[in-house]
Amino acid sequence: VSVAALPRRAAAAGARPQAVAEAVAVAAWLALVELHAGPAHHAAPGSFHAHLHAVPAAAAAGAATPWSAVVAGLPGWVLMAAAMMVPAAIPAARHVAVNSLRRRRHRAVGEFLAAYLAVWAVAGALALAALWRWPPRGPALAIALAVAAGWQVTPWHRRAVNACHRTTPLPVSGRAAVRGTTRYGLRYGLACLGSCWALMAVMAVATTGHLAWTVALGAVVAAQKLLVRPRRTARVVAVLLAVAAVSAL
Amino acid sequence: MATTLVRRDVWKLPAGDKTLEWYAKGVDAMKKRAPDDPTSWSYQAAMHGSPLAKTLPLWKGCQHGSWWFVGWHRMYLLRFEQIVRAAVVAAHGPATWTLPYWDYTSTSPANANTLPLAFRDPASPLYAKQRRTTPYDVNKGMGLHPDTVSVRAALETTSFVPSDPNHPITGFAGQVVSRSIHYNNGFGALEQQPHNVVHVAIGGPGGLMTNPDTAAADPIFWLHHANIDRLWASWVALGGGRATTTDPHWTGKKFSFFDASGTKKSTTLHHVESTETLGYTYEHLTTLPVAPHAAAPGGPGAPPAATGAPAPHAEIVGGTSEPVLLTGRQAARSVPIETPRAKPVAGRGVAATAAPRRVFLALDDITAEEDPGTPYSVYVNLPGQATPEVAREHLAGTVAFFGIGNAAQPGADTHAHPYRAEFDITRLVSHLTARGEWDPARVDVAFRPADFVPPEGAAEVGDDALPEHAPVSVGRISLHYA
Repeated sequence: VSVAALPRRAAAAGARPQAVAEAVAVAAWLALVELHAGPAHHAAPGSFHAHLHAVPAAAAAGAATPWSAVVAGLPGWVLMAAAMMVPAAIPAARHVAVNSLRRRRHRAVGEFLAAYLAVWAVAGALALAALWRWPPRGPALAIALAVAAGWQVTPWHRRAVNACHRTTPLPVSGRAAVRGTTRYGLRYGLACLGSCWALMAVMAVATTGHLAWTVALGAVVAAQKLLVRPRRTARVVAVLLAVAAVSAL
Repeated sequence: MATTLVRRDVWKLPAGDKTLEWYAKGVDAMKKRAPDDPTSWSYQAAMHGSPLAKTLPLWKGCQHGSWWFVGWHRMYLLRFEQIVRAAVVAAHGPATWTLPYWDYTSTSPANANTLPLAFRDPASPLYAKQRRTTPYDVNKGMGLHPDTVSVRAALETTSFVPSDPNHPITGFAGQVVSRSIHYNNGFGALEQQPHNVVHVAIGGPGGLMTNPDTAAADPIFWLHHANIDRLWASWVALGGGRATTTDPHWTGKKFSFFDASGTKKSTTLHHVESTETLGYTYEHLTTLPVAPHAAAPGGPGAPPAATGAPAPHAEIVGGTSEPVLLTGRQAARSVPIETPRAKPVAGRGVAATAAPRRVFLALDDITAEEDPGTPYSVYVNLPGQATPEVAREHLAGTVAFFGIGNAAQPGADTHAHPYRAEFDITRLVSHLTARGEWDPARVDVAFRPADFVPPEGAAEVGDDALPEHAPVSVGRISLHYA
């Protein structure tokens, strides 16, 4: 997908076949900001905010078992993942839309996003269980930032970013079509996990300024997928993360 | 420049002409230069692409699969020609030396479809061993088949940029992108055929020309691209609305190359819009070949009722569920066509139940470990045991997988991308409809390794005698209606 051309192509096409993905991205950001505006620990028991933790580490810290940590933290995690990841996935969603029959176009984008976010949900569940067992302390944030900086310049990161830009065949009708969009969502999710897991590890251990981290690292995710020179972007991001790691010490 | 130089047809150079002799001397001089000299042979080739991990200034810059394709290669050729000319002049050759072009679709002389003789001589600097040897040997006079390297589809496009942004084949030059991207999957009509096909037809399995990372190291590359450049000039000269884009994103785009002194020069595409202002022309421009099928009244591709509205963008109407594996043998698949929406396309005033205005056949998500070096001809509703004449009437086009390795692993600092190819089969469908050979519910697509012409005196080799190759997977065959 030539990302750089997409806005102009979409305008030329006079249509927004990827509308579902755009709506999900906007809704996720609105919900996330709302969630941070009224933190869970200030909310009345039983209220919306009491059940949704925006900060994964806080959700895990308040739980009695790893399972309850996952239950408490997962909705907020998925919301965060949607806000950070779906904007950069809009070109992929558009690819799904224009390669699906018009009658199932929006459904196809929905299937793709569901599979994509399912990958991040599984990763989130593991992260929350780990957070419950090993609550972040000391230089955890600095270490996570340093690991994220290092990951950016590995060949594995480069391979994963390349994989983010590949597509898998999308059959047009019947169960094969559902399997196709789901398979593409899973593949895309795994590629995305490969390139962004270290950034999400930062999100997992960050305990303060969470919304700011979400915005900053969400921008990094978009930059490394959408900017046209991925190696240069990775190097710049690695430097920024390394600087952040030092200042977090 | 005071005088206009003429790039000449390599197969029409008069007896005793020294153009190729000087080219050989220039190439030889460049090959003797240090590899880190920007005017050396290997450096110039690496500016297109290189299999090496290291990168020197302006290496791996070729622009493929987007609208930069024509402009970047015109600049590349121009600077290369200046470098060779300087070497020619240094050897006391003519200051008017120009790069000749190879018009492989010409029929005069009759062997114009074969590699020019100087390039086949193992003692010449113009020789390359790594060229196609199966089913015939390029260096022994194998001919390119006129259907395989046809320029018709490219010259018939009337828009420089795609008229349908989802179908780059509707443009002469390729998909609109806003930044340089090295490789992309939006091949315009000229790039897909003949450009890509000729590369792979000459290079063959493992050959230099087959891979963008090595292509420019074969001296014939430059004559092939002079022809591609000439086809661009020919296309503009055909008129009928054909014109190089004036979009400031294109004209203002800057690319850098080295001049004959090895100095880096940056130029905008605006400066290479016309060959005349650059100081050169071509000996002969190609005119539009006669189309094998004419549009049937009322069928697809028939002139639409004058509504004044622009043609709607195409939508997918059918596709295969399983990949097709190409291994050097024939392969075929049926593509079921879903019923298009009964409602008129929103806001366009065109009933979807009416005959489509345009029909595209796309090969999506093509993957391969490496380029097999085999172009394939793609046929629609091909009857069994079709004679070559009948098969020709069902030919959608020929596709080669030039650059497929770079799609997954781009060597330069650019993103990976999917690989796809497509054909505008509007007129073919119209032709089949008129003959009662079009089923609105199903289209049969057949792949055959593309034809080559055996060298004079050599026996014709059957398809089954071709070597099999590691599979190329065509992830989906899809049909699109506008």
